[in-house]
This record gives sequence, C-alpha cells and structure tokens, in this order.
Amino acid sequence: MGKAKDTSRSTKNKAQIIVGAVTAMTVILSACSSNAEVKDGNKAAGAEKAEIVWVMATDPEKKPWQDAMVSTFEDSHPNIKVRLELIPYDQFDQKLTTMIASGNAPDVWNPNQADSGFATYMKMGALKDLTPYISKGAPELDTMDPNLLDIYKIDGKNYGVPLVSNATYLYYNKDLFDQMNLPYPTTDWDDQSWTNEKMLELAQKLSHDVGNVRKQVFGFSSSLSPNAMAWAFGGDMFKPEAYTTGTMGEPDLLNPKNVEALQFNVDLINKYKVAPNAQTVAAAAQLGDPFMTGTVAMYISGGWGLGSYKQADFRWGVAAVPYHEGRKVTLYVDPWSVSATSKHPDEAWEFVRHLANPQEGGGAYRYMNEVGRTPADSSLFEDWYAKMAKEIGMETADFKQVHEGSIKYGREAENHLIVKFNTILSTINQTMPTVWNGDKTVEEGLKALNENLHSLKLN
Amino acid sequence: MRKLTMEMKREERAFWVFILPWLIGFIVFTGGPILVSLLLSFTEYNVISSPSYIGIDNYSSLFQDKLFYKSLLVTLYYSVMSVPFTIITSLVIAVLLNTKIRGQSLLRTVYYAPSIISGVAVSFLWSWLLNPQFGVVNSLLYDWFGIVGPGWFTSSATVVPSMVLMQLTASGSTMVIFLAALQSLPADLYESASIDGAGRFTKFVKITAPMISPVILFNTIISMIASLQVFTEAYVITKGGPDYNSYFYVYYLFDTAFKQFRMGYASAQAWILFIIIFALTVVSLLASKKFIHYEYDPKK
Repeated sequence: MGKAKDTSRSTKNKAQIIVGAVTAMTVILSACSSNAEVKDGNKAAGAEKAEIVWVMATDPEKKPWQDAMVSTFEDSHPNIKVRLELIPYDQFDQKLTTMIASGNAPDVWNPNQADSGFATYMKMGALKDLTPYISKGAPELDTMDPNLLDIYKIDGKNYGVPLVSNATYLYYNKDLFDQMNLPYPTTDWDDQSWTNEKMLELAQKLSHDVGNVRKQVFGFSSSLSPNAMAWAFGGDMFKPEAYTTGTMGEPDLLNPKNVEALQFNVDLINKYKVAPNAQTVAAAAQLGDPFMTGTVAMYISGGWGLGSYKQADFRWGVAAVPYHEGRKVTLYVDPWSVSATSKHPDEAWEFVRHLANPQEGGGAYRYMNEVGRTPADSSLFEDWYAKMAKEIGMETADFKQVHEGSIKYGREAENHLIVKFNTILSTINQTMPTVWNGDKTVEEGLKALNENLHSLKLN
Repeated sequence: MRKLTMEMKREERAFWVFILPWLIGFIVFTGGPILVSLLLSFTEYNVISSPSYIGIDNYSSLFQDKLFYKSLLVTLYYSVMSVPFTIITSLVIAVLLNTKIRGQSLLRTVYYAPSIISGVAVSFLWSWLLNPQFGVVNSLLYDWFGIVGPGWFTSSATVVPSMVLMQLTASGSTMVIFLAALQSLPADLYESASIDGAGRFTKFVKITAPMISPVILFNTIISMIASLQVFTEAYVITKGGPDYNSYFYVYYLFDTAFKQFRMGYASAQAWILFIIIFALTVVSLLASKKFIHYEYDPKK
C-alpha cells in the first residue's frame, strides 16, 4: 500500500509522511468503492433485443446447466438475450447490494444464494411482486407444493418461485461403520429409540486415535449453526416473532433447551472426545468439507451434500437426525425472484418460468437431473428419489423415507426469514469458539453472545 | 514579489500541464472521496436510501461501541509486535544481502520477490502452510521433533503472532530501502574504524545504525501506518476470528461498510483511524528527534 520511495531530508520527510498517511487512508476508501461499478452491458448490439441479467453464485458444478438454460431459452425466445453473471459466494451479498444501490439490479436471481437471504432483500424493497404473473397462468407451477410457494408469500403476494428445497440429513460414512461392524443408523425419523444418547454410543464406538492428526477418526460432527443445534433439541435462539416479522428483536438465548443442546455438543468435543474441536473443524474447513476428509463417521448437514459428496472416495449414506422432543431441522428452500426495478419484468418472468419448468428439458427438471439438487416441484420427487438412491447405493424406499422425514420435521432456514442474518451469524460465529474449546461455559458464552447481539445495529 | 521572466512563466505553465493528469486523478478519485467520507460521517447512510444528517451521533456511539475498542486493541497488539519484527528482520536481511558474496544479486531478487505477489495469494499460501491439521509446518514439526504444533490461525492466542510471522514475505520493500541506505554509507568511515580496532558489532552500533537512523525512522513510520491498516490477512484467513481476536480495525470498518452497509458509521471509523495514525506519526517524529542523525542538516 502506497509506500513512498524517497528517503531524503527531514523537512520533506514530514510532509511526505503526512501525504503518505492521507494516501493510505484514501486507498481504503477508494479500494472499497471500486467494486461498485457494473457495466451496462452491450446495449448497442441488437437494439430490439431485450437483455436480461441472470445472477448466481459461482459454482463450477452448475455451469453446464446454466449454459444450457441460457441457450435453450434464447432458442425458444429469439427476442430475449440472457446474460449470466457469476459472483463468488462470499461476495454475493456485498455485490448484490451494491448492484441494487447503483440501480443495476440483476433481473433474475436467487436472494437466498448467500448468508443474507430473502428477508433482507425483501425489506430493502428489491423484489418484485410476482402475483399478477402467477395469476395470469403459469402451468409450470401447477405441480408445486402450495406450502413451498407460501414460504415466499408476504401479505398475500408472491415474491419468489421455489427452485430447490434442500433438507437436512445425517450423512454417515459406510466404510467406517463396516470396519467396526456396526449397523447403519435408521432412516425412520419417527423411530424414537434413535436418540442423541444412542448416537453418542455409536460415535464412541466409531471414534479412535482422537488427537493424533494422522490416524484420528471422529464419530460425529455437524455443520449446524448453534441455532440449528438448538432447533434439533426443541430450542430456539430467537422468539417466534423474529421469523414472521423478519426482525431479530430480543433474542431468547438462555432457553434451557438451548443450553441442553449446546452442552451436548460441547460434551461431544471435550468430555467424550468423539467430535472434532473448533480448531480441527476450522482447519478442515480451510480445505473444504469435514465429512469429505473421510475421518468423520456421522455428519449432520444440508442436502447439498447429496451432490458434493459424490466425489468422496468412500461409500456413504443418509439417515435420520436423532430424535428429541420438539426436534426441528433446517430446510433451505431457494426461490427465483425478479428485481423490483427490472427494466424487462415480462421477459424476466418468462425466464423464471423456463427455470421452474419441471417438464423434461425444462430448468427444474434438468437442475434435478444434472446438478442433483433436491427439486421443489412435487412431480419430480419420484424421479429424484430413484436417481439419488441409485447414486448413493440405498433402497429407493429408504431414501424417500429419509427425505420425507426431514421435510416433515423441517422448518425454513433462519437467514431466509430474519433480516440481516449474515451479521447475526458472524456475531454468533465469533463468540461460540470460546464455548467449544471450554474457555467459557455454555451459560457464560450465551450471555456474552447476548451482549454482542444487543450491541448490533440491524436497522 | 519577484517578477517572472518569460522563461519561468513557460516553465510554470509546463509544470501545470504535466501535473494536471495527477491533479485530476487526485481530486476525482482521492480528494473527492475523502471529502465525501467526512460529510457522510455525520449522516446515516445505508446506500439504498439517501443519507440523513444525524450530527455527531456516529462518533458518540463509536466511543460506546465495545467492538470499536476490541478492534483497536487487537490492531495495536498486532502493530506493537509487527513493526519491530518487520524492522529487525528486514534490517538483518539487508545487512546480510549487503555482504559481497557470489550470487548476491540473485539472493536479493529471491528475498524481494514475495513482496510483489498479491497479499491475497500470500495469505492463502500461509493459511495452507500453517494449517494445523494438514499444513507443512505442523507436519514437519511432528515428523522431525514429535511436537504437536500450535493452532496458528485457528487459536485465539496464536492468531495475531501467526499474522506477524507472515510479515516475512511482505517486508521486501522495507528491506530494499535499508539496502539502498547501507550501500550509500562511505567506506572510509569503516576503514578508519578498522584501524582503530573496532570489531563488526562496534562498527554496526557506532557507524551503521546512526548513519541509517533516518531510514530506520522512515521505515518504522511506514510500517506502523501499514500495520494499523492490516486487513487482507484477517479477511482471507480468519474472517476476524476466533472470538474477535483478529478483528482488526480496518476489518471492522469493512464489515460495517460492506456487510452491514452502514456507510456513515464506517466513514466515522475511517476518520478516527486517520486521526490515530496522524497523531502516532507526529508523536514518533517528535520523540525520535534526539535519536536521529542527519548527515546533511539544512539548518546547520
């Protein structure tokens, strides 16, 4: 950063350093704003053609599907051009907000793509009411479960068309289970004998050499946020109103069920030593996904794993999350939305219909088949069950049971419903490591978190 | 006032013509934003709706903000460790690279090279080297000495020292400035010192150190300014964690501005940082007066 090159005389020196300080200071300010500019596209080319911009987070797995969507749509709609823009996941919210602020909002996008989520963009007024379009008739949505459509219905108006509905499962490493001759966990979510204590017993049998970096195998880990851990025990860090109004309000951290849930997870690490500590998880996360290392026997995570674990060099399966009274798991239903300020809303809506089409060759159909994500459209479920079961090496009926159980006990992800959840989440993520490594008790940690959340200004 | 000759007028005109591109650039891209940030620091501005004037509210709530103090403390901690570390290591390397040996220019290139690589790339490199589970460093520690290495970036206690260590690959330009200063030292001083029987250490303390003291001061101030603005390491490797232990001031500023979109508050943060850096610079200039030896003092 702006280092001056001259080292000469004392009088000059002072002035230089001051200038240096000023320059350095503006580097911060100016470097930050350079991202904001978004090119207006090639307006000159094809004056009659409407160009719509489609934004997604960068994911090489999805690229062939994205290219196919653009070309098939352009073939059937010769007057519309689609420009695909990809944004790295961790810059998604930042870039999107700047695009919206500068009046260059994309036409079609998924507000839940990153940590911020639907609620945040909804509150900004960035999303278009799609109800008039839907009521004009959209046969693509006929087979969509109305409950899913309702998630993005605010005051009777639809602001999003669901594309995927990822559920939460317990993934398990079959190789590690077979080595210990242990039976695989159940696929039945209503089996009340599959409790957290049972899971712990299994995890103890599966863990070995914990602490020895070269040989260690952990019985259990999860990618659950502390709030999702609380949900799994019937607790909740926020009041019910937070999810309906979108405002975090007064958090409800010291709910005894939250304490029970977090204490259980702390004990897995420090008392029973069957789960990796925060450092190990952070180390593994620098490289990707902890389950993919092949050293975690059971791992609770979201439905995207069904796609990404295909590359694992071990066999794996999916099972039910252990039973607890009031257990809830996270559903991640992602919608397509159209920007409120879109210059070509009709064309954008046509493209959304194309993306949501569950018929063979349509967007939703190919997304399920080619990218492997859980479809939102009910007519695709049976195909998807059979396809996934075959890929994983499970019975179709078993896989169906796991998925349907997850939906039954599922609730919509908090970042889709609470405004500015990315800030809330990073506050939680800063505070919790002191609890995981035992520096603070669960109660102390939650009290510290309570203070930190209170000092946030979220409006 | 003295009358300008034609020649001087022409020269002055040429001066303005040549400086103009820089001036325009400065006013539009640097001066303008600085001024705007000063104005914005008295407003509440979320980028979407237009800014509204709130007086000094941003500044007064900044002084009640726990994270403000935490981030300031973490940054000062980093600075206090990183500045001496950078100065000492780059001076030592510069002295070594100043010895006349074969392959000298190759070695100089090798030691300077990492500082032309982007900070993001270097940060990724270090995060892999120091990965507690899979990194080379901990692997070697275990294989050679049977030591279980520290958590580096993942543990509250070691995260800042690990980032200080990263300065090893970032202090190339500091080293080059030292090297240039060392090369300009007159050989006759060392010769006469040798005749008087001074050893290497005495020569360094009595001749080298005082002779290059203005350069040490310059490098110290420049690296102090840079260290107070530390950002990339935290952004790429730790996201400010664990438990806010690498939540540097500028990282907090970035979070406020581009994650939470509170531009007014972020501008106030930037101005406070400016004042802090400015004050520290002035203090170190005044405090160092006694210790610095200027060979050519214009006042004498």
